[in-house]
Amino acid sequence: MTRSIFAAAIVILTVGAPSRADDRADYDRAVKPLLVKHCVACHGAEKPKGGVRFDGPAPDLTDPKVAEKWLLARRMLAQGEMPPEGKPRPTADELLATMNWIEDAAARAAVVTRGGVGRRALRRLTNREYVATLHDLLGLSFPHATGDLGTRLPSDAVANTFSNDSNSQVTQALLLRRSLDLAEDLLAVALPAEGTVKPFRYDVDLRSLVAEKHRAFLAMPDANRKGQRGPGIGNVVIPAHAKGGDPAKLGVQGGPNSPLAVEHLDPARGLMLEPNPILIGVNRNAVTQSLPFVPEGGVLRVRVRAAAVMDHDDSAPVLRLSFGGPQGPGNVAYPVAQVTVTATETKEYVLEVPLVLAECDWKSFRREKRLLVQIDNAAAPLAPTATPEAYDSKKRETYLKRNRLLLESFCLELDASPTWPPKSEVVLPAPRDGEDDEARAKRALRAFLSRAFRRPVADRELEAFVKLYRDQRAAGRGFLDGYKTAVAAALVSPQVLYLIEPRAAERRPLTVWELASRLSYLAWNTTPDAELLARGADGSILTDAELTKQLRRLLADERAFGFTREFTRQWLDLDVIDHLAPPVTRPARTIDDTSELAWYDKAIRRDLAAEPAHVLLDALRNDRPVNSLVAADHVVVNDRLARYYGVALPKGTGWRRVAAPENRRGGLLTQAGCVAAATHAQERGEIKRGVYLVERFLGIDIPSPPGNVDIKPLDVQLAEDKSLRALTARQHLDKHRTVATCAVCHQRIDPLGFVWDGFDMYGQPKRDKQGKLVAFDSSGTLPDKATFANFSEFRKLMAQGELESRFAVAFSQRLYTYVLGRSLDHGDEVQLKTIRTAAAKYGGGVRALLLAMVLSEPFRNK
Amino acid sequence: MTPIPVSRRNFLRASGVCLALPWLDAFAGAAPASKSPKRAVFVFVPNGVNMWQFHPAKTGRDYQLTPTLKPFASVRDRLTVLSGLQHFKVKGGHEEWAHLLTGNVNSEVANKHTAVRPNTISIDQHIAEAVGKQTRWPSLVVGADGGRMTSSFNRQGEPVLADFDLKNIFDELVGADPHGRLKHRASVLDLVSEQAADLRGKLGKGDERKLDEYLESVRAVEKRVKADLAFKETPTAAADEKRLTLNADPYKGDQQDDYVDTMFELIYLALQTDSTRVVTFTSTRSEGGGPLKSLGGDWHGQGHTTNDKVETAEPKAFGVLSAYDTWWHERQARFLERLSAAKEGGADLLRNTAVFFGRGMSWPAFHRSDNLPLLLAGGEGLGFVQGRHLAFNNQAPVIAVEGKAPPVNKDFGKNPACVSDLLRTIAERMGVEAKGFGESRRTLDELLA
Repeated sequence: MTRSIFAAAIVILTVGAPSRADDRADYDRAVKPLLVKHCVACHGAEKPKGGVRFDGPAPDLTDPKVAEKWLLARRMLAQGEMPPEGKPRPTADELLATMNWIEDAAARAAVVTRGGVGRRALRRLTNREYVATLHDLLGLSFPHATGDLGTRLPSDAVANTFSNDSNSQVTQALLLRRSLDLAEDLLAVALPAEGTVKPFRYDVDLRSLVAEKHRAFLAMPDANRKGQRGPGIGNVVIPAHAKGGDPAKLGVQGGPNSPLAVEHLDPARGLMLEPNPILIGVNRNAVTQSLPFVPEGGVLRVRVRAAAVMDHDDSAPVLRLSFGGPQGPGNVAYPVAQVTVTATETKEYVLEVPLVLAECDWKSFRREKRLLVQIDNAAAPLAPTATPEAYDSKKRETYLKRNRLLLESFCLELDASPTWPPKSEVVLPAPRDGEDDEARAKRALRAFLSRAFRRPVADRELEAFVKLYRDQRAAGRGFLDGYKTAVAAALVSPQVLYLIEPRAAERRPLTVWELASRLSYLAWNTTPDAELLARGADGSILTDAELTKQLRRLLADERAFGFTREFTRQWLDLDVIDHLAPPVTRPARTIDDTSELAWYDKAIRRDLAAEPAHVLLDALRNDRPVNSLVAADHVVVNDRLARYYGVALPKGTGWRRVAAPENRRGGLLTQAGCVAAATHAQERGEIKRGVYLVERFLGIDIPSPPGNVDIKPLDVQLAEDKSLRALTARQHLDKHRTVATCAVCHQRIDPLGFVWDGFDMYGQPKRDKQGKLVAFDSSGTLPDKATFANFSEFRKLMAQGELESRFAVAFSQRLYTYVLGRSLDHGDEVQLKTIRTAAAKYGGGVRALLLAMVLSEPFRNK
Repeated sequence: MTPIPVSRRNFLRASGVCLALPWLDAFAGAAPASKSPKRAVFVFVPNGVNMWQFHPAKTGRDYQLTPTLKPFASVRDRLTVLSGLQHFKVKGGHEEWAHLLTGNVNSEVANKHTAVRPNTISIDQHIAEAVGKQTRWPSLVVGADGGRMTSSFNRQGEPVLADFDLKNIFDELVGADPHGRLKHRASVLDLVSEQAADLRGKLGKGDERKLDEYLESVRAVEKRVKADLAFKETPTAAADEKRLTLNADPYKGDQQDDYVDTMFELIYLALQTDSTRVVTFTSTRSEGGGPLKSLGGDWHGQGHTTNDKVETAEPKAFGVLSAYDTWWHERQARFLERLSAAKEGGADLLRNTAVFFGRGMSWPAFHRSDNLPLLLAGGEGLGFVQGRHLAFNNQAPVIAVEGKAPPVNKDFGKNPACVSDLLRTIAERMGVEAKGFGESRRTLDELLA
């Protein structure tokens, strides 16, 4: 791809803007006649309908409200919504002249308003970007720690736009305060103060404990042995390692559902743990070690020799670490880290948790002067019942056949160093021979600030931070405290919090550093790595070839999931899935254990919300056609979703691509997560579904329903007029549109309301109370009046036309909004057309589309 | 609860939970009631109510508490039930939380994007601008959703982010600073504000505006750090730990009670310690996902189901609404009781605190926003006369018309009143001029006599 395509587009936008007088003359010639003939009768000075008038002089479209009105008029003219039905139609020539004028005037106005082609207001890092950036800058990585530190910052979610939209972002004291708290907490983990952490270490050989218990078990009389559940190991004193700590107590808890003791204890291998769904109440199926003190800080590291015992066709075991208070009925264990165990031969798994970041009830722990460390198997079931179709409610299964976690031994240790191996060198290099404190601080700050600011640091800037260090020392603080204060300041400085792009009189290309940052925060949601900064330093990032190469590299990295997750989460409103009230699976069809069911429910919701991100990532990495996102013969699923969809998934781990079943060939359109997010758990969710499809898949914004509606919605009319009750849901909705006020929007929404008629509120095939599949009718009409008789026709309508398909046009708008970090305006439509043309030339894949966006002028220019 | 006259630092070490109580009798001496600070609390409650059971039939002093208002029995004389108030032109709908305290006529609910932005200043922030300097924090803005889901808006019409994290609010309230970070923050903030000032000149106009937000935030945090440091030197007393469930998660059905109760307790503590005099609690939104959504069934959906019929026609739906209303009223009443039990300068805390429990919806089926179910409590020290049911705008009692909800009252009489008038009256009784606020045309002197 060459830049000339885009250069051409710029010429259109910036050159040849006619003077205002020309504009007016054009308006009088091209637009006014049509308005006078078709519009002014209703939208004139006398009682203008909807308060909208078209009888004035040429409008000034740099006023956003005026522009919005005129663009809406243009769209309504284009779609034949105006003039209303029954009134004479304008001729095609009249229409075209008017629409072209509006389009051109709006595009020119948009560039004027924005102040430049790629202009966006100073963009702040989103919460998630900030958390990821802090980790990267401080050399911290806790891949297995659970919990989302982003939730410590005030939510930056904005309805109907992305949180990276610079114009919608709000920065306030609360955010700054929380950011500083978080930065200081993480800094304390990266550079712990000497002497504040009391190290300890415990080694536990579970195999020998188990062997001993097993011997005792075999020595029991047969009658006693029979039916004994659980291993019953308790109060084993574990001496501390020479490194430190007081003796701790170890226990192993069985549970009412755990298998017979003899199955639990394998003297040759160690302890077998069934999955444990219980986090509140008496511990069960868990190893607990009670520390007679509560450590104040540092990083707790647990090395476990473990393996998966895969006896059943179900989830692999998950090694989970939790913290809890005293045991008892009210006990709550707070999960702090977990990792899936897939090795069938014992190997070492390492879980690391910085204590200061673990969200749990520290206050209670401190009061009791005790910390309970719990290790268990957190594998949620793959399905709510072992055999969904053949489930017999009379013969209730008591527990699922589940895979066990084998524990051979573990080591629990805490020391000051943040991660293993220590990475704090990146924040504070070791002193050099003969170097004094200040020289070391200065050297360290120069390196750190350059990484933090994502560009070389200027001497003047550096001096300000060195001065802060010096002042701290002068006030009597030590080297480390002084240095950390300067680093903390850097972490909340505008240079880190914002993507700074200084102004220029004219439109200017981004500098190498600005471009590297934009690219990194786009594809990774975090700060550029050394390689990207190096391509900035040598200037190569400015070339198309290098930019292309870097984008590919970034997308191949695991951090790219951060991008697809953030984009899909907001585009498709996926967060809502976690909060929908009714359970995903009805209890009647499942196992007789409510805790297992709740557990499954939580897991499947997480999977439903994650699926679109995995699909998009797969499409980006393999450059699959854009339209494959809504028409594909494959799905990308994990084991649990495969069960949910009823597809056989070859053995393996993680998210895999597999042929889609008949009813899941619509890409995102047949993903249960999208259906669930659209339906909002409403039994009669047709309107919600219609709005979702129109807004998110067709890119048409629907206004909120009027607040104080005078005209009653259909359900009320129905309630008042009993004779209407005989109507079907479909006729019900048709009636809705006979009311003029509602019809304006609902004629676009309702005809799409039945696209998902075959799916229930969680995207499963709709069944009746007896569990039988029910007949459905997915037919409908698109806002542009194209009709479809069933889902596959709908899918075809969405996906046909390569990069100019209905979906591709809407998707590219959404994606470009995210890519630019600002809402699009009319001037961007020209860009988008050029982008889609360029992407089509390169195969029409999702990555080609993203690449065309990255290479476009607005992305590379201020 | 026992006030312990030891230094805060020592006490912190002992229990981890203590607060300065400058206005308690023990510390403030017998300060005359008139010298006590004046305060206002604004609570936004989502959704409409079961309108058949909210407004009493009779107005005046001898009104009967309706079934869902029963929880207020113990504080009946400290409470005014308001009938007939509404916004004049401001629309309701699902964005009612954004308009309740602003009365902003221009933010018509015509478009999702502009419903909230641009907004105008909300009354709490207007008051805080004037009185905020006298306390540690200008205002306390909280909510279960937090962030932008807030009824508070600043002078620029931008949302004032709501705090949602109970533990953090509490920590800041007690000034917990386990790592001794506060005193070094001033120099950190100095540095970053210098950096921002340096950058400012290099940026374009739009960017400058964004950077100014940052600079303002830095300044606000600086002020707060200073106030927090000063606060540490004041004498202390203990908070009641039993009333604080700081790890309650409002997204979990079984922890919603604890969340709201704890939030009210924190508000109480913030007022009692005079950490702030203006509080806004935007509990949660009316519709869609979010926290506090499992109170006795799907109340938003059931609200629609009622179809404005009489109670007997939709007993289940109205039942859910009544249970929901009662749930809120129990918590609100407990909060009022708590304020009235705290002595201050010869009176009680409630006397000096006007508490507004507001909703932006009345009949929930179609989100009507006339005859809003509003309550005003306390604040007798500010001049409010309590213990009545007052009807404005010729509002008739809620009586079924042809088996349905009564139609919207269109005849407001000679002296119409709106929500903005009520808010303005609260502001002016706190000594903050608010003429021209929102839709206001007058003050509600009816509340004062």
